[in-house]
Amino acid sequence: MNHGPALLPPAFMPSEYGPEPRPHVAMLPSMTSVSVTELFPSFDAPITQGDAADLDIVRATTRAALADVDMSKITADSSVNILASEHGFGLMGGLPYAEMVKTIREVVVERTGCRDVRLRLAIYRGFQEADEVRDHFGFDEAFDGKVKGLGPFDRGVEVDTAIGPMYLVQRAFDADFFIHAYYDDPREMYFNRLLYKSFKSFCMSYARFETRSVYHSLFGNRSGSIIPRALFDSAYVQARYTFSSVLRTSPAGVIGVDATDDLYAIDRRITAGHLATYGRMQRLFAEIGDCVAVWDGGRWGYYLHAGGIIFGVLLTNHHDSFDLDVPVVAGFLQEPGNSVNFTRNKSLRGIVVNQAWVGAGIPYVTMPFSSPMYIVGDDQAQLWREDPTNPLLIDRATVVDDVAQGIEMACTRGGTDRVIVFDGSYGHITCNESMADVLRERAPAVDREVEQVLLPKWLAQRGLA
Amino acid sequence: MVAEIIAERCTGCALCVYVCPTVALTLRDRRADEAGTHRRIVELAEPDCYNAQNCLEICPDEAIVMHPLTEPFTVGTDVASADADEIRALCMAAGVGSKQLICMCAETTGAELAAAILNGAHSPEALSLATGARTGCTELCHQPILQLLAAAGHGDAPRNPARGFQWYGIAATALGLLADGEVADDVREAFSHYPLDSDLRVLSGDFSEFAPKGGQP
Ligand code: SF4
Ligand code: SF4
Repeated sequence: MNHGPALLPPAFMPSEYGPEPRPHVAMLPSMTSVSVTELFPSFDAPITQGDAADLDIVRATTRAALADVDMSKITADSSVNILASEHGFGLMGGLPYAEMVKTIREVVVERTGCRDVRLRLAIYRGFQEADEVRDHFGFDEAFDGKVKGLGPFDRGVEVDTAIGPMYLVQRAFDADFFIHAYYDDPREMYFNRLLYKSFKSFCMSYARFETRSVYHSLFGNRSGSIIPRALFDSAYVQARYTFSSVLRTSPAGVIGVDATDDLYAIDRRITAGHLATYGRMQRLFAEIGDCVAVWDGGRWGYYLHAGGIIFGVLLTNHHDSFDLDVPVVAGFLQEPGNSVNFTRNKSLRGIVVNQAWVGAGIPYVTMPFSSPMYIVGDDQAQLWREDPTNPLLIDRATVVDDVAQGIEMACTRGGTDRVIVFDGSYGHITCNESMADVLRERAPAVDREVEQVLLPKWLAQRGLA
Repeated sequence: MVAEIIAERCTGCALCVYVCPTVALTLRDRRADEAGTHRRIVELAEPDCYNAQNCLEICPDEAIVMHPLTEPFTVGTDVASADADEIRALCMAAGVGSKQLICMCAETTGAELAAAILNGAHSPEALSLATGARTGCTELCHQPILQLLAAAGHGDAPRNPARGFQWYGIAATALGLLADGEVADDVREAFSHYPLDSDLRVLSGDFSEFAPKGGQP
């Protein structure tokens, strides 16, 4: 099979949490790109894959989606927080999500005359990261300086829910009303199982550590979404909620914006769409077998995309994440006799870090035991050495001079010649030729199995058949 | 890494004091010989700084920087330092696995946390100082730590400092959805198409259904 040169991934926001931007792995002559619509022809064409030239389309699409949304709760004298969550800024470089957020503000001001519309950036580390996002995407200008970050260790508020007390971050709700400005990246599909994913911010982005900890550690990964639903339905949240606006994606790119006050309706539409699209990609990733992954982007390595699928899915997704008959596919629950309870894909033979954020809140400290890690450059190695979340990781990783050397070492040691690159790409997967061959070879059977067997089951299990 | 306070930038707002998981920061009056204009300034107890960096993130005035430690040190509690049966009983009462990695950053197991509690660490900050847990992402381990302390009879540890928000109370958990060992009726009705019975069996330690298909756990 003839393989053309690789396409470049979307540009990303420079950050102090990662090294200085360096040349992309896609520029190596050994790399190529496999189009996701070539693999799965049923995927709709996207409106953008993150290019700045497409922002007018995102703006028009957002305006069209908001046209029929009921904003009657908001008056000229109200205060309104638009709640944005950080992973939206990691989607295709973040420009489409940022554009949707800015457009929401414009439309709210036009329609209601509201003079006090603020942006609250729900960000994991909380504040320095929020400043980077604010500056990079020009939010100070768009929001007249009314921009603040919030993080899980920020001051909290106890909220009564149907399942008991939970803790939210006070600053997210320090206005008369809020707007849930979200995106539908399914990210950790093995954990959220695509059950009410559109609600997840209520137990993560907008929530304190206590709530996040319960979601991760003390609920099963099918029933975990009870928490965000209980919070969303609580009197505290409902008294302040106005409407939701969600940036819609498929592995091909941004496919639209869905906005209404009925978040449950949005969620049903997203779930049905995702099972058909990300469901196919999920099963294809399970077919990859032995391989080496490369991190090459401007966010946490765990959350970098390849064809719209995050690295974390390859790391953990060896079972069918969407089959709700299986109690736990991966997560933090303990299996008897197994001390490492976060099951990992043993076919992942190595991870080469060309560029990515350090842990900064994501623990990978035991990952090099199952998948040896190769970190490119002393400057990047120093960042890992200083990372509070992974104090011992650098002692368990190998520092290499350049990415080609890292890939070579990882493939030799891992006994594989397949390389997949997580560089933030939607619409295609950056990989080497032998990986491209595997993807192309396996996709038709995956396509058939999902369409004929799995999709009907997944939909039925969620009451969507 | 260890924190350092830039005296002239510190306004004494105390936000860092409220988020440090090991309570390594306190407020005091600024001395006449110190740079800066505000009356109060924050002070660091260096040995108690475990590089969580929450202070650095929340400081609105960039008055905190991190430096490499001149002499790195290792933190931890030896599980053998407490009675094995007591450790197991405490983990069981708290609903956490003794071999479970509770803090994935410091690689602290339920047993190590239980041992530290049995050895006298009776607050979240004392537990963090004894084990290093809750000084990395400070997220995943948060509630299991509060549950272990509560199960050991120390759920009433006063917040330190009193206005701090390092931690609040224990949030609702899945096992709280049970009434007499069964999923409560109102919960079952409210969350109708969840496999709650099955999930709660798994969470209660019954893994008989735990048979992932076609993979390699
Ligand atoms: S770096 Fe962490 S442990 Fe050290 S003072 Fe700051 S918050 Fe406390
Ligand atoms: S948060 Fe910053 S300004 Fe406020 S007391 Fe701490 S170091 Fe000083």
